[in-house]
Amino acid sequence: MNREENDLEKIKTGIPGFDEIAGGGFIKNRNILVQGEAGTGKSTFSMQYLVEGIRQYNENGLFISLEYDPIFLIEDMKAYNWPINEYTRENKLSIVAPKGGLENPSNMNVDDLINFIFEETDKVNAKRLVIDSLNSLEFIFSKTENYRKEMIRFNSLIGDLECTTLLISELHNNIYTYLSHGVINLFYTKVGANRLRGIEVRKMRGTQHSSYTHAMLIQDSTGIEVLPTEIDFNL
Amino acid sequence: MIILATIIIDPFISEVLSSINLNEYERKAYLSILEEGKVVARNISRKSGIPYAKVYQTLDALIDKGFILKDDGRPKKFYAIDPKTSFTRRLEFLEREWRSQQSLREMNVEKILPSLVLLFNETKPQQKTEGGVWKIIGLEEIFNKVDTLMISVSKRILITSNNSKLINQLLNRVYRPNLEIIIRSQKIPENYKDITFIKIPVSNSSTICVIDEYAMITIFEVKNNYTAVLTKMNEMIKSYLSDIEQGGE
Repeated sequence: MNREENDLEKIKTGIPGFDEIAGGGFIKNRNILVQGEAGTGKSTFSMQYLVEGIRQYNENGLFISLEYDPIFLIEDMKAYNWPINEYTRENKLSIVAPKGGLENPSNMNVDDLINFIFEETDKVNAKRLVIDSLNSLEFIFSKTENYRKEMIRFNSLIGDLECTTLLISELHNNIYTYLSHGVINLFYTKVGANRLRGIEVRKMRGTQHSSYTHAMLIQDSTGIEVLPTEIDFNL
Repeated sequence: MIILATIIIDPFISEVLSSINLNEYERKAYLSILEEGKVVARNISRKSGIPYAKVYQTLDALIDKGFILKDDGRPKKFYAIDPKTSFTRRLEFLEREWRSQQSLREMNVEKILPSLVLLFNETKPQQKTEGGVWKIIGLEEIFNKVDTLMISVSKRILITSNNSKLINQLLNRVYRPNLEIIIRSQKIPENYKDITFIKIPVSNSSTICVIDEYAMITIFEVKNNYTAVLTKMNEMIKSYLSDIEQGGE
């Protein structure tokens, strides 16, 4: 551990096996990028992060869905037996789409989005925040005159909400890879006739984390479990 | 808390803060910080109703204007400077800024004035001159011209008119002690001392005012609209001689 690591307060995700490979969890109030191709488990990982935050650490959560209907998202998560509806009723968890719905997201500008996130965070006193997805954000930022400047401003304003934030993204090179404090890569790769899941802590500033790609399981009823064993998709 | 709630809605305080160039968001943020002490941006947004996306630029503006400071670290905390200090500095700054702007304005006006005067002289509708003869439109302009001519009067004023009202208005403007004033009219006005009146038949169509025998204003009135022709003898002669030199008649 270096000096900075000692100084920084961390939060555990509560996802079995993940905190061990991430050097103890996420640094509190930082923004982390969770990226991977379709079907790699980004939404599941992020929702589990919110659910475990409430269940184990008494930290309320907010899921901002910019491109997927929250109703479908809740239905998709039913397989894991997480008490999502109960948490929602207790105002510990909120899963929301932007004002006006998803039908015409192009109407929302950067300021609208920032204000929307701020208001929704306030409503549930969220300490954990998930924004799905970066690709939708990029669409909103693309309408501004200075994409990079607006992205930096967004990152800074969201960072000051005192939430530990996961930003979901499809796997591609983007500015947020550099702006975020951490990058988690998820894999679902074909090996022979089968597909195997893996997870990698690609970047986590101020933290000694595993440099391996680890095997990952998505279990019915419990969700994600990260294994301490490394995985080589080339085998 | 209750006191500040009053301050926020106090229109006079709001007006004073506005007068030193604090916009609505800046006023709300500043008063919120005064109440809260040291506070993070999102709490200022919550308290004041300023949209979160706008709160940082509002706070940065308040820092630039010398009302608040911020701590380093995340999230940043903002706190007020002693109002005695910040307001004194602000007023001094605005005064300097005003002086600087005024100085720039004066300099620029000085630059453009000659060309504007030139333009005005070329196009002004009230007075048209040709060879020492001016056409003047409007009673106010006529009186202004009389006032100008009276600056250099030394001997005599001669007014010929049957318009009593206009005679009185002209007398009010031209009367000077030790100046000979002669009025020629069919109607002799009363209550004027040291003025010579000569009762003779006079045309009703115009009023003539001769000043020191070098300038003559002939005033015409049609349905309360006044027009005058001013003739300056010396300039008329000058123009005439100039025309002869240039081969004119």
